[in-house]
Amino acid sequence: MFNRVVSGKVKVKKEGKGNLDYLLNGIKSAFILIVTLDPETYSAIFISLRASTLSLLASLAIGLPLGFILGFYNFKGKKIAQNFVNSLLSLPTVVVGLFVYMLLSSRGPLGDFDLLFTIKGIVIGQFFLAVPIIIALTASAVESMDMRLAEELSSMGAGRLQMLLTYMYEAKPAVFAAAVTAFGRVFAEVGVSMMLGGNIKWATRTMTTAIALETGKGEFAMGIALGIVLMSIAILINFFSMYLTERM
Amino acid sequence: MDTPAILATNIEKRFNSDFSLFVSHFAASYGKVYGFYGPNGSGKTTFMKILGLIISPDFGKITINGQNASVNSLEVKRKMSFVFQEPKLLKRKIKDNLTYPLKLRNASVHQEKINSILNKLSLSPHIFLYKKPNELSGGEKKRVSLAQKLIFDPDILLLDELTANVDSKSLSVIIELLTALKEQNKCILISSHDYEWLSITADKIYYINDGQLSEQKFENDLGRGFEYFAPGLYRKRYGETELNVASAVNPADSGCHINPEDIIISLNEPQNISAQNIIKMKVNDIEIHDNKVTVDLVKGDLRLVSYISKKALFELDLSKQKEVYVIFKATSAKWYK
Repeated sequence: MFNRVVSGKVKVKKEGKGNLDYLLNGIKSAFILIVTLDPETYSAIFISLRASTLSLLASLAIGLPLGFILGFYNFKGKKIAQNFVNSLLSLPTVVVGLFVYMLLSSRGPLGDFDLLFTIKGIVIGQFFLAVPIIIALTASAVESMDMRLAEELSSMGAGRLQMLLTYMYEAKPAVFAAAVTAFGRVFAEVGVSMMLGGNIKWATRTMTTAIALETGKGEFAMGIALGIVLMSIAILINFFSMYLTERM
Repeated sequence: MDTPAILATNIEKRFNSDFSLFVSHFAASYGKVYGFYGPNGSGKTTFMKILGLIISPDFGKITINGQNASVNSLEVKRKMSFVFQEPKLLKRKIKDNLTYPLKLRNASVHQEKINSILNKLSLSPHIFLYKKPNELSGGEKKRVSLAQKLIFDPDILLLDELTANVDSKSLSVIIELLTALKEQNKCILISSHDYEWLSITADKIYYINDGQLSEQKFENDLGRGFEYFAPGLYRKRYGETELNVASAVNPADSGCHINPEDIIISLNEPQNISAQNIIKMKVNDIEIHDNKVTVDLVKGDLRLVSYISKKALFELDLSKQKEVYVIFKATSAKWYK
């Protein structure tokens, strides 16, 4: 199967040492794409970063207060709500893609806004992937915090919003970890970006959809280049978060 | 009469079926220090938290300065302070901990005021302002927490188990500050299980036990009128019995009591024992409770109560009218004003 994909499509010296040379050539071309700032490659990188950052910000804005409420207050059905959020953590990206597609498509309730196959569309889909992570991790962080803190804040006359903000500040390593985890999820996903973005070159082609497409075409160089960038960003974020968490 | 700073009526709070607190009336005025004394788990902290508007009672009414108040009365709460038994400081520099309550109130931060409060609490500002809570000792944490709660100039101050986990240096610093605050006409409520300390500090002491509030009343009140007998020892006669108790300073007109837990019962007269009080008494009554046995002992005018375990009751085979030796140490005396 491997050979069948390779045949003819990639510029590989047939007389070379087979698979190894062909792989090395791919990596070489990938580095050339990165170093020469190849516009098509960088377009996918920036679109990915833009979509993931926006969806992360939106899910933080909604997820942090909801996570705080879920972890802080005792109410009827709290356990059910927590279980529901936890089960959303493993939501398949294509299922989210499907539902949001139906919402955004011209026959759907949000069809008039023309959001399908735009970055905004991707952001909406990724929001649904990220928000359960933010809610669940924030709730468990808040829940595990010392109850004395709530009493201290209450005794000092903190209102509800002040209580929320102080809790988020006190739990910042956990909140930060939640943000990194959520970013990792949306940054690496392909299903939502493909279904809601439509993989349109220069417009909605993200790193992951580009890799999927290029691999399908047998054009490995750009795929490898994007893969290297994707992994580098992931590693960088993790190191950065480790460094910050230690300092917090 | 002035409006009381705190007025609590018919307060009731239940924690499942094991424990309930009921206080029909409590009032506190400005310029006074009130002490709550009682064993661990007696309801002191619960009552303090209800008065401090931190937890809601199941029933009952609390007014602060004549105004109805509840856990949600933010404006009222911002004129009150509560220092917890184990203070929880924010995970930031002491400086930020101290300015936090001011920021909550959108009040301006005056560095001189922060420094002056820290100095009063023997915390030098240039050392402590930039420390983090995990670099502080228990006593320092308590003092920082007190500073944090004084920074916004509250009218009412509630201090829970103030003497717990506090070194003697911190304690004397705190006492000095409390005296100054009382002169500034603040209303101060303190709970502690250290009766001697409370009796020095408080104007009025309440006893809380099993969720009931009463004005000071002790099981083994030996009363006042002890006279010097030997260095550090004071003596009082009860008919033909002499009781010896220890006190660091002349008790003058102070009284003392002995905790029932500190009284030992023996069938034989002990020999070569350090305890300064060995009294032959009769068992008057025995009450068996879930976790302890109350033994009522008499000799003439003197009545003492001892708490012993069920195991001890069976081993000694105690019964009414049996003669026993009652032993307690002179140093187990707890003094009150």
